[in-house]
Amino acid sequence: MYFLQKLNRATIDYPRTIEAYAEAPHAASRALQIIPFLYFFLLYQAFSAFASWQRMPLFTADQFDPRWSVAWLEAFPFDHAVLIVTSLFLASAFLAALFFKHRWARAAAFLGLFFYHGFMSSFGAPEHNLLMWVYPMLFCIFIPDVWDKPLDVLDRKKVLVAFLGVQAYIGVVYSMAGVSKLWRGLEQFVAGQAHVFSPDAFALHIADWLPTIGSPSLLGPMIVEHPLLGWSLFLGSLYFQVCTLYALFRPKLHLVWGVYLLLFYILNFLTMGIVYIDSFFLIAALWVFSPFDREEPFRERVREMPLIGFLARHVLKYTAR
Amino acid sequence: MVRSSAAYRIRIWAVPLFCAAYFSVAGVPALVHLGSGEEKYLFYHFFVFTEVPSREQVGYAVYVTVAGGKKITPTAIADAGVLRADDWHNRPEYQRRTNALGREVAAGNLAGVAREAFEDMLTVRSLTYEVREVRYDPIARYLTGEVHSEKNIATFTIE
Repeated sequence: MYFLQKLNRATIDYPRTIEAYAEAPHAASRALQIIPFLYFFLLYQAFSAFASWQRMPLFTADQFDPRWSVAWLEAFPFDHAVLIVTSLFLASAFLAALFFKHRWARAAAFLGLFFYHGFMSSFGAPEHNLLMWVYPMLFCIFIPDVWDKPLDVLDRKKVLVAFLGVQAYIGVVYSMAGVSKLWRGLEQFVAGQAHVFSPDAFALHIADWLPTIGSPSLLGPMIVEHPLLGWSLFLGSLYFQVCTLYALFRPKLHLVWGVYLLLFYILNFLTMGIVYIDSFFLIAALWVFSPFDREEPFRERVREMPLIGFLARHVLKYTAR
Repeated sequence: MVRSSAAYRIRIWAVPLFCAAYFSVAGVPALVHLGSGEEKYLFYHFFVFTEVPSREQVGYAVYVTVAGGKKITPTAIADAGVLRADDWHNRPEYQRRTNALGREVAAGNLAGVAREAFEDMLTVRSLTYEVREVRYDPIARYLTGEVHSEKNIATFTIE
């Protein structure tokens, strides 16, 4: 109930939060400075995609089962389709990296990415990694073209709302991932099976997963041998994941959650051998360097955290300075 | 100015609405039918590692026994050199298809879509393979290689 009350307050207060941040020019200016870096990294991804497909196709024509967004590619021989979709991605990302101040260029970059993601999702397995970029790039279109003019309060509000939209997908996805673990964990608990709160839950995941990918990891064997080492990491990660959407609407928490998400990716690699480098940059740009961050004292951030903040305020009497 | 303000008032609710809509479309159905598998294009739910493996895990493995007309020592499919591109990116997908094949065979369906999807991964068109059901404790298997039981549940030959 406490969490629901907090969530409610966070979302209801959200327009007032945006208005407060729009009073000063700092946050909106910082948001506008972050955008070109996103497009330059998109260009890097597009060039990597273009180069890797031209040199060594990852999949073959007989595996190609196009999604609706790229059904039009079936009109071309597979080799030509690859060239078309990677060229579109590269050209649109190149334009957006140079002309990011113009909405047409940002819309073009979104379309290039949208088609490339559709293409990469047309070989049986879902393409998660690139989807992390698709929705943020969609919201980038709604940032007004105000780079070359002095910003009034309304401009700043529009910039900040659109930027929060750019940040939003990460919040939704991680909260969903956390809630699904919690939900299924409760089902497994009720069924008397190993569950998400079992001390050996993380060790079981690692021991079952590493043989599947046929690849070792640096810390995985240690956690399998000593499951309690992984328990705190697993429960901590579950807490952060479930609350990511809450953190989206509490700007004081962006930096804390950004740092957690970066650590999550590093620990994922060290324990499970999973690499998601592209999302790593996105999280750094949008959450660690969030324009909403105001260099708050650490204890202020802790007080804002769900549950932990409650404990800090009411049990440990952790007061603001 | 009035139009801009109105546009802003609409826009400010777009973010919470987007979050709620995505969660409703992608998350809620997957939560209700958790384990049904397929993710909807553009509305992926990212439900990975939701289920903690049990201490009595049931999995499936495929071993090649005849390749190119010659009988060979049973060799795990990943080590037999018959898969399309055997790198770590594809391993989870191979395992997913192997498990789907195993579940289909265990349910008595010897010529279903999972078998077709599995054989689509193969580059060698003439071989015999066994589908085995393996019962194991993941931690014991990881540390010592020990499994509780392993039995052949089907043998297929493709020409």
